[in-house]
Amino acid sequence: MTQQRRQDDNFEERLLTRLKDEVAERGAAAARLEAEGASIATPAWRRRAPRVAFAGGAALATLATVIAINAGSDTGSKAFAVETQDGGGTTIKVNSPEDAPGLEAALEEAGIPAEIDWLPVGMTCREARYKPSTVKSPLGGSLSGGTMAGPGAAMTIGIMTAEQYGEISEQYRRGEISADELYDSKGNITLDPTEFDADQSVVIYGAPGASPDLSVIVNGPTGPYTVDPEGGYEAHFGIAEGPVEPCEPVKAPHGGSLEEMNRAIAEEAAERGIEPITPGTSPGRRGG
Amino acid sequence: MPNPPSALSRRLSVVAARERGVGPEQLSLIGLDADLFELFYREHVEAVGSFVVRRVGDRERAADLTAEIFLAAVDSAHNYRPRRGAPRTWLFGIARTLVANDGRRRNRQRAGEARLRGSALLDEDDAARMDARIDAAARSRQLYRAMDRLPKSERTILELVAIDELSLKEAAAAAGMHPATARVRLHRARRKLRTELESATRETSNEEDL
Repeated sequence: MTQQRRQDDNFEERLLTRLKDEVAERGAAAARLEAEGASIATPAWRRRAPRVAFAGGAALATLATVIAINAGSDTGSKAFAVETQDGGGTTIKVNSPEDAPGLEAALEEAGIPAEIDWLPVGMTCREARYKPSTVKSPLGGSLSGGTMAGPGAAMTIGIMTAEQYGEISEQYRRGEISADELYDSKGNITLDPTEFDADQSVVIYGAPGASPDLSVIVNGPTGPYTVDPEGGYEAHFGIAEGPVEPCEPVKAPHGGSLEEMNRAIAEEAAERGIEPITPGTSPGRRGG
Repeated sequence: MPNPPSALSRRLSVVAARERGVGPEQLSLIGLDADLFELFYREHVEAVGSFVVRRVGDRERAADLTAEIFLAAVDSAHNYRPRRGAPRTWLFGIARTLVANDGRRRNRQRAGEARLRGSALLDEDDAARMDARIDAAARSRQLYRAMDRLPKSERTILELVAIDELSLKEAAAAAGMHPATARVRLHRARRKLRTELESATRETSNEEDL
């Protein structure tokens, strides 16, 4: 009896018991979510038009064009929506930072190896976990990374070859498709699977709520906007060469409360003499 | 799109893991299935404990870190992909990151914030057992400290190979490096460390900068 007790009663066993409780709780929560499934209501912010902001700097060599994409579709209840384009390309609209494995699988199915981590509010991945690289963009030039943030489908990924993009642009020039349709298909990141080397992949990570990088919001092409109190998300993406270390979640530099974020944005905007856009007002469509 | 695993597939995973250990196919489920987690934990808890005491000479910190490493594994299992290495390699990758960042994190986030404090689970018998283990790993810790002046990338690979006795291939995967890059860095790290240790023995007042 005593021996039995000795065997079961040590640090490792006590730790195991606590960890198993934790896992069981998660398992139960996942099962509940699964059972609720489709009945989860779509938050209003996912149906609203987004604003898109790109981080400046080295990230986006030639992709200076920034487009607010249309998010008025009725597929907003899913974490992301996959659309196959007429010309053979694929567009993935990320509505909310959830279901990383699902998005990873969708990208991989479209020919893009991807590592995706969605984190809790206010968190980001520790930097420098992969070797940054560039790929040729089907739009011309090269692409290495960037940050997107906004209260809506901040990130839409277009997957197509340069030929497929050329064909869509031609259709637009001939007036067969609208500018909106052109923007919708190529998204705000456009990737050509044929340009990826065997050891290259796309790394995407982000979190719901405000962008940890305030400059993305304040310097974004849509101008400064206050953070949607109902949600929104920020996402970073980059091109990696070689293996990608697992994401180590760390506190984001500006991942504070919404109030803190909005105060900081308002101050920054006031300093520059500009008016911040508040959620609910029309962001308009921007391109160029 | 992958749906959450069904009860049946989870059961089958547990059966498979009982026979062959928790492999890459079952690993992503350890955060959701307590039985599968137990198998995974029992398979690795000793190695993780040794990993920690080869780097940390404090019993309480070692216990906290062991708990944090497994908690992080539970947290990130759903993001595991087989190309990130075998389960053990993946777990070592997590352990390495957490131990390396331990000092910084401890300043910022303390007792109350931690979800699960390993050190709170220690009793007197554990303490004696853990101390013996910590003593036995003294030499490894000495080596670990001697690596302090190596660049991070070189240090990482040397650490995994020399202290944790991973193969070069495993170590490269755990550190997220190409095996070829890892080989070059390991070579450089060994050379530098040898020089460093030799000069340290010869002349303690050597002020040479690295």
